[in-house]
Amino acid sequence: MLDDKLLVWKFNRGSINSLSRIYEKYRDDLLRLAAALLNDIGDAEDIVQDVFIGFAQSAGRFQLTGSLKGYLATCVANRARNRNIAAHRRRTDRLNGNGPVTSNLETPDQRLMDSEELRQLSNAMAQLPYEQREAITLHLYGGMKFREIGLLQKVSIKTTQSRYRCGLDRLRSILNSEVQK
Amino acid sequence: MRPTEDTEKRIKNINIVIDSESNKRVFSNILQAFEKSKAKESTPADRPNIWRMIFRNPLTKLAAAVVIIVAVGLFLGRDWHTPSNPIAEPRLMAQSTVKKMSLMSLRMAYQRGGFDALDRQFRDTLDVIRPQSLSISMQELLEGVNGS
Repeated sequence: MLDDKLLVWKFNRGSINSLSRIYEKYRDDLLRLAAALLNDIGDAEDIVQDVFIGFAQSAGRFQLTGSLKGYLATCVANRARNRNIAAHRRRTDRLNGNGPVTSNLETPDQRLMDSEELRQLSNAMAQLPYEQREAITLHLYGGMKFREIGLLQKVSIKTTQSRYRCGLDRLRSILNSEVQK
Repeated sequence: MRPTEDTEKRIKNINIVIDSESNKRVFSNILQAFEKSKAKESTPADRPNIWRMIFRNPLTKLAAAVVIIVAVGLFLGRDWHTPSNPIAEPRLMAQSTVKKMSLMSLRMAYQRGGFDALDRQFRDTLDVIRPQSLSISMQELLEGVNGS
């Protein structure tokens, strides 16, 4: 926490080294978080890049009130939610015959090597309701407390805890069944 | 280990492998945004607002509140009804009337009795116009001239 405060302080004063350290420190967790929320590795990379670009643009006026990891994870979760809503709208439009037909192929610029483990988790996560997925990923990858997740989801701490537990139980059964296959 | 903890650990430890070349490219994009924001920060439009700086710090906020309260207290505590200096204009007007009446009485005395009458009237007028007297009646001034 203190380390983050110091990094942010230096970052606000124009230190490239601090920005680089923040990026290296949280990149992997944010990528896991985005991949688990979106079930699309290309989109996950885009979102993490956008979040870091937004963060870099706030240099000089960025104020850290809670944890830096929690802040970045919230940004990723918000963008992932917006992207999911947009994707859902596009799918609905396509089904109605309104929108253009687009390919969901992976981008050639993909930098994240698609590991089998990550693909498995992404697929299992995709079967969970979005709120449960969000509660699990924000807690495990974003390091956020249930109270903070509750504030983000606009529900009580009890509801968040229940979403987390239910989601985790279901995820376990999905992952176990895949292993047995 | 409990099954919940086991699942948590399994999710947490998912391995991701990142291609270093494209990772560098992404970081260079982030750096570009950072450099742009630094250049923008130095323009006057983005300089921090003084009021925002005051209200961001609790200590300066308290100091500002104290200054405002003292200023309001001084403003309200001032006695508006009894001015420390009397208003000068009415006295000047009174003096002007006295002068006017004195000159009139001196002129009348000269017309009636020449220089002797003027001299007498002059002395009488000096007796009448004392520093403490601001209201002098015409009768008092013309007492000597009229011979009463």
